[in-house]
Amino acid sequence: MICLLMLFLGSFSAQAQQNRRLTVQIQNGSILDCIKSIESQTDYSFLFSNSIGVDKKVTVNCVNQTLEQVLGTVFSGNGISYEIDGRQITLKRSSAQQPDGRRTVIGTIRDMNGEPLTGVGVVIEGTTQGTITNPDGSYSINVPAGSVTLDITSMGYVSQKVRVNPHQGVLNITLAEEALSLNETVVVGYATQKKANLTGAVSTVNVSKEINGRTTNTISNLLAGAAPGLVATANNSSGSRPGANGASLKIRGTGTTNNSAPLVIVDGIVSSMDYVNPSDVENISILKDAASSAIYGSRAANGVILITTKKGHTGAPTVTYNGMYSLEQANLSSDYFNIESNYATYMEYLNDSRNNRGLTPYFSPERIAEWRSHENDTDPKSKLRWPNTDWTKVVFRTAHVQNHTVSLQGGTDNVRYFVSGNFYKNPGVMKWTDFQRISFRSNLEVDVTKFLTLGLNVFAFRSEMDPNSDVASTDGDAITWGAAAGSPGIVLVSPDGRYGEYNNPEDNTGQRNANAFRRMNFYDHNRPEVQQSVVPKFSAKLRPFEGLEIEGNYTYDYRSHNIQHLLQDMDLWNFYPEEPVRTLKTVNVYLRKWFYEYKYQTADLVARYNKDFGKLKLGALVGTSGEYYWTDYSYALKFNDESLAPGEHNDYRLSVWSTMNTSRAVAQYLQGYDSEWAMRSYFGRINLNWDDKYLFEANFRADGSSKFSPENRWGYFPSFSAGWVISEEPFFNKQGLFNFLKLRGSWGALGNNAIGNYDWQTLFGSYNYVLNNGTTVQGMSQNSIANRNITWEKTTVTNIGVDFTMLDSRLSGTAEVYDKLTDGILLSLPASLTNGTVGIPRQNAAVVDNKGVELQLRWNDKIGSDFNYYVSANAAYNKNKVVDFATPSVGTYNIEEGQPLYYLNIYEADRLLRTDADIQYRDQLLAANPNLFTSVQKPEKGDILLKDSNGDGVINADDRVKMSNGNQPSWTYGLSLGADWKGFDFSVIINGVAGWNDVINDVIWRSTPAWGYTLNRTIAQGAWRKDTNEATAKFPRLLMGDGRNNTLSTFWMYSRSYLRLRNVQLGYTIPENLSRKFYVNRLRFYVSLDNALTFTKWPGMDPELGQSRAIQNHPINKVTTFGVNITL
Amino acid sequence: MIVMKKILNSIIATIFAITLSGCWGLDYYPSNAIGEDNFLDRASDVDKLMNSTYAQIKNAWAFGYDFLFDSVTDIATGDYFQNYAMGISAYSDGWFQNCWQQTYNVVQRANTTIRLLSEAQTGTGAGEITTAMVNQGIAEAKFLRALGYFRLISLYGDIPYYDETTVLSESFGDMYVDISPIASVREKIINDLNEAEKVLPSSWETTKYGRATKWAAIALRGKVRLYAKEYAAAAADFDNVINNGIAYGSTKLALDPDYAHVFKTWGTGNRCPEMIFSIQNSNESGSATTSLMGNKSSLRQIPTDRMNPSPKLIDMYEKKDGTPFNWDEYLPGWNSGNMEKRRDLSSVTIDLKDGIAYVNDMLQADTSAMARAYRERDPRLMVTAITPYSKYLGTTAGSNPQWFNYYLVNTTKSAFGPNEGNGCLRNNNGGFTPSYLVRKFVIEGNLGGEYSNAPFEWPIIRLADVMLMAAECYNETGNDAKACEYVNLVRARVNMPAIQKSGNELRDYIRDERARELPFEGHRFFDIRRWGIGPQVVTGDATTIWGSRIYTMSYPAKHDVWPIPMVELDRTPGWKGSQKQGW
Repeated sequence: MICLLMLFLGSFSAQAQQNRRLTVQIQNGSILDCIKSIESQTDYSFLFSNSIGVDKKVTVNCVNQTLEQVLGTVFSGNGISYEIDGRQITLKRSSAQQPDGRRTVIGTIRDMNGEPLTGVGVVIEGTTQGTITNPDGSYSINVPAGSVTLDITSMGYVSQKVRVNPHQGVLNITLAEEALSLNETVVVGYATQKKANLTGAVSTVNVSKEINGRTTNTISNLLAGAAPGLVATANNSSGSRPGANGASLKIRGTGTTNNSAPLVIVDGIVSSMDYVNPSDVENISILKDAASSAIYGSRAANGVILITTKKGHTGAPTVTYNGMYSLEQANLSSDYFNIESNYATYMEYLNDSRNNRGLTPYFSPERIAEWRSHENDTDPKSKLRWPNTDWTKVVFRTAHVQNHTVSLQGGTDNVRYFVSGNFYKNPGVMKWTDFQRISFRSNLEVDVTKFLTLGLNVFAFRSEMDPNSDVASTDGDAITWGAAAGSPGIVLVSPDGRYGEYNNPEDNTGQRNANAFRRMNFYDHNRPEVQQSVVPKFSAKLRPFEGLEIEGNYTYDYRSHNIQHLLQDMDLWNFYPEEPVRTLKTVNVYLRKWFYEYKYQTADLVARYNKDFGKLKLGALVGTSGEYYWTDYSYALKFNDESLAPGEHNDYRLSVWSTMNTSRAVAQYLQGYDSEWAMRSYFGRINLNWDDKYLFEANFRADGSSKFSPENRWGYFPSFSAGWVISEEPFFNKQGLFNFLKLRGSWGALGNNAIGNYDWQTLFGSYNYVLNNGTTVQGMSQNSIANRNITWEKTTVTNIGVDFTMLDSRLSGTAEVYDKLTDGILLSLPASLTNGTVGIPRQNAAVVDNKGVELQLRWNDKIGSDFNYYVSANAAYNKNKVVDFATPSVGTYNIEEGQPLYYLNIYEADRLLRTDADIQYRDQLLAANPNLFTSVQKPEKGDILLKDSNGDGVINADDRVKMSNGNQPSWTYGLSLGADWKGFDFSVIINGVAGWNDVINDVIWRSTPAWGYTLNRTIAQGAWRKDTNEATAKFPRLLMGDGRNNTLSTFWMYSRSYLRLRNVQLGYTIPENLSRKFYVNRLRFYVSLDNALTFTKWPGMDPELGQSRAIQNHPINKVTTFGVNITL
Repeated sequence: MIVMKKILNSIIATIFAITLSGCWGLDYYPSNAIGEDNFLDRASDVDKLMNSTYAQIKNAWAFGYDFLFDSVTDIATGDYFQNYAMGISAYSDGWFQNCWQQTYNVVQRANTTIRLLSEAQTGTGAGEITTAMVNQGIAEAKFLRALGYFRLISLYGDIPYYDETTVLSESFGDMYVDISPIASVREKIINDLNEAEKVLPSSWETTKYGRATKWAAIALRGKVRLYAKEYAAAAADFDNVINNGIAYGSTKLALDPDYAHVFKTWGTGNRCPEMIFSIQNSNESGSATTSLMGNKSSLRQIPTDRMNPSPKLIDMYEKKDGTPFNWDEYLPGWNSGNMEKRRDLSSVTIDLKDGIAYVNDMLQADTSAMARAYRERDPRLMVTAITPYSKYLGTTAGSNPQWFNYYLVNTTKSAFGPNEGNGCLRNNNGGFTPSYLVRKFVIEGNLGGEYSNAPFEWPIIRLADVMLMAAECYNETGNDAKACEYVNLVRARVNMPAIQKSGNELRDYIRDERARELPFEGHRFFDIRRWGIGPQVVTGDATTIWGSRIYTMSYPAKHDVWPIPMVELDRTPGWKGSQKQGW
């Protein structure tokens, strides 16, 4: 019954089908011909084994009969019986046919995604008789008379025992994945291992649940909450900007003040995950402790992320298509985007801020009254004359994103292939941030002989990004930044496409840069920023004798990055007069180009040896690799003179001046440099496994790098780990509460070489002067001091973990405790300014410790027979501490011994001085400590009173106190749950962080307005005002040009904790027998929502983006995706 | 056979892989810099080292932004250091830190140069470094070190002192010597200048014009002595320079007959005969005078007029006959009028024709009287400032030269505000603020470079400055006749009548004359400090032409000595108690 219900999916229209009339007329044809005829007239499909004799000849003459009638005619008297099950008709030999009562049971075994499972064992319980499933998931087994029980087992899936009734001939089974599939193969450095035998801390990402169905151009954006100990935070400056670098990743806290991003290895070579098409990914492993990552030696201190792309497999080719169409919108829900758009009110606020400072107001009462009287005007002309613009409504839009992947996967006995192509196009939520990418991957393996396999993997992509896009969020030209630098008194763009400036003659008129929207149109959009890359990898695997495999790989990774800006200014108009007046005309055409090239070559040779000596299994690996990296950069700029008459317009001018040769220069610049490094490595591993019970592993790596002086060039990184599988002990009852239990521990050393390529050398660089009133003369000055002694940062990690499965393998879990100590952190110590500006060399000068706990639990089960569900939760706590630091670095994000790295070090705000009582309080303090305000300005009503926290009678930098546990959250958690039922699937991913305070005080979120700039309504309304909101004001008084209230204090501190509904997905898979009618094996439709809801108290653009350069960030997007997966 | 084939394959694959992995060495050197081992082994390297040592004085926060110092005094208004001008800045202010670090960089560059030269291998062969080169280079470096330390003591009073015996690459992490009293630093400055005087040439070959001469060393020594109130010794140095100094080649130092030319000397080989020591600029690497003091109509329309001549400075300029200026003679009612009254006396409304502004209503203004009020004055006024109802040759945003008019516009009555887009000059800072604009040192038209690189030679010490300092020395030592003689030399160059004054009256007059002769050359800030007149003169409102307040100036007593910057105090635990009085 259980298995039959799985086919119930398709039964909704079966009744109608059964009543349909058919005509089958076959003259001495085979039963197979009849089957085809029935299939062609109905939605039914037949399931059978050829051995039942469908080649038998029959003659059928049924006209306009029901299905039952036709089937009765076809199968009468030829020893074949049938069963109708939904729209599937299963054929079998009539069980009565066999004299001893034996019969054949057939069926198909699939996983919860509907994919057929091959190699599943089907055994008659209590016997050794059994079979395994074919590549299409089908099996056929001869069973004795009466009811029997079949034992169905497959690695990585929860075993099932299924009773077969005496007359039942068909048994289809869906297997649930084990919560922790112990037999799952996990990719580790240079090899794979069974999860059950792992002794290091390795997390894997559930690619199908966490990655699929979400449209993004980089995988890193999908990893938030996916694995404990991995923190993925949206890229600080680029947010959700299409084509931007992905999220910033941290594994187990920040271990160093230098690059603390994990090493990313794609298919065995150091690479970036930003270029990988998420659909190509087979699996992702996260190596967290030293035992698992020491094999990557000097770059593994921050952990390692291994990404493996899909490979071919022997069997019929499958073609899949994944298509996504998404609607993206910037998340503008925070107070941050509450922009004051009423210009009259805006002018009043600005006058306030001038008056408060004792300065003459900018705006006359007459002008304010004029705007006020027109604030409700609705006719278009009036709105142009007296605009009240909210730039967020003009700048942002809904982006329609497409993402298509087609792949082909298959193989024969000696050739295996995987080929895929992807097209991604995202026009961006801001105009002119278009991005599109075409990528291609081909993984090919050929068994030349039994002992030699050759491989060629090629990855290539070309991406195009609008030239405005990068500038849009990284330069001073940033769109959000630029937009913020304009007041509501500007018409950003008129209905007829003209760009406006300040209409009010009393405003900051004549500002070329005030209209950001106009700036977005500077660039010639036909010259996209192009990145192109080709990465061929040649490999050879040799198996000279049983157990030994020698693998050699050579990879050439080439990437170029070409940026062209052909900039042209735009006219600006004043719409205040009856007819618009052009106030600034188009000038300034210039052409600039950047060209970057990167070449990275790597070759490695690895020998692996595996042999079983009775109960002892031995695995050994030795290898060597070499790497060479080279980058080159050049830049050229040519300013054009402006000599064309007004009216000679864009296209002509651009085409004339579109190359460096034809452009007529008034000034030009050239720049360039190159840089290189190389590394050589030797590494090895030994695995010992006694009876799957006692596990031991040792790794070793030696790295030599050109980044260090010859004396300090080589670093050595050993690691050891051991595991005890308690559940394999005789005393352990595997059928009890726990089904599997393993205890493991590891220790090892890692390195970090994240420093400049030439830091150990004393260098004299160019520093020119001018003589003779105009002749540039070459100068050379010492621009960096050498420190030949710098060497690797060393990280040692101690890790203890336990893996278990419980409750019939439905609940699995992993818990880890670690201590990660980084020694010899390379620091530019804050030296005395009397050194001048010479580059202070880095020193191995600090020690940072990260201690933490990680927990992951997963529950997989089914309710009834067709409702499968899972819940997966993870949480991690990390405590960061600076153990040793030569000189405290005093700043807002402080480094100090005994404290977390970059802890927030700010003043305490005593209060906002609102009332006379507050002023009295201030004066009492002042009377007691006459020097209280000698280092800061004396606060008046409406100002923030800072606290003399150390009680020394003066408020100064010494009063700053610790307010956070570093610049990373202490707690991170993720929750993923999902279910499927009758072809429907549903999943939810939630993640969040907790325990993180930060400050925000930027040009939008502060009460210090600037002339001509955006004003935040929340702040402006809440600002202290005499006689109106004296007692209740939430923010300091508006104060133009005086930053006294911008001092970073607890007043501006907020929690960056958040809980985010990352993804919700609902899908439906069409029943296979239905989709087969269209020659489609699997057809799934789904809807997916990303970042649908966020709970946070952070007032900034987004809690993930934080405060640094906040206004120049690109916001995080909310995404609605409609997708389809088709497998042929 | 198969075994043989297997072995062969294995060998080939192994060799293939090992060859590849072994083919990259591990020694790499940068392509854009020279390592220490390869530097200073040929004569041309000495010039390179010297050029980079000079180049540091050009840094904004060493001497490059010196003109901005005036923006916190009474002769200019500005917003670059407005908190300071208002007397409300704290020791965390970036200005204190930047000047500290960059001026120490002048000193450390000089120290490194002295050390490297004294260690250099010398010889007499072709292309080899000679002892003479070494000695001369060391003398120049000592001059630059003296210049740097003089600036440091002038700003910060007592300071830590480092000489060439401090090797940065050994002690960069341990630069925490005790603070030396100002007198002992001054003694070392004088020593350096004495040694420089002995070795430095009287003038340089043409291609090296701009490097320090012995006259520069003597003039600077005189200035150091003047600041120490050693008037007699200072006067001796100044007289020596005035009487014997060489400007270039064998041309004697002399006042440039064209006052305006002094601030607009540019282009290879061009000379101003009164420069004693100057920052050398070009179109490619120039000074920030235009980007910061220029107005929005200056080259490419990007400059930001961060500083404007104050009405007080403008009113200090006498009429051509040497009598004081009085507004009421030109616009009756001005002196007693408030802001609205003055606006009505001087402002108009504008309309646009083809995007260019023209006056469409004079309202009650007498613009020709206003224009005359500036023209009938000491000629230095119009060289220094752009005044209402005069013109200025700026450029379009595309850098084409274009004349701009300075109208005072009544924006409550005009449909348009004046701006560079419609052909008008304006002060773009602090609202619509009718202010005087700087003409001195600001690029006019298009000189072929960028707005950020004003190519003009920037005087650190020039002859008129030396003459006025000498006059001060003589006034202080009672020789008023000699003092007047020097003042009158400076006045005669611009055809202003001679004066005959004495005692305190003369002292005050010389002080005003320095303000009129040397505005925006970075002197006023230091002068009012050493004269101790800060609280008296840097007070009241900084105003527009109409007298409306832009901000209120204040000169707290602590301004006489700058604080140790916050960052430095944080990094130097031993200095906790050493902060300057009042900070």
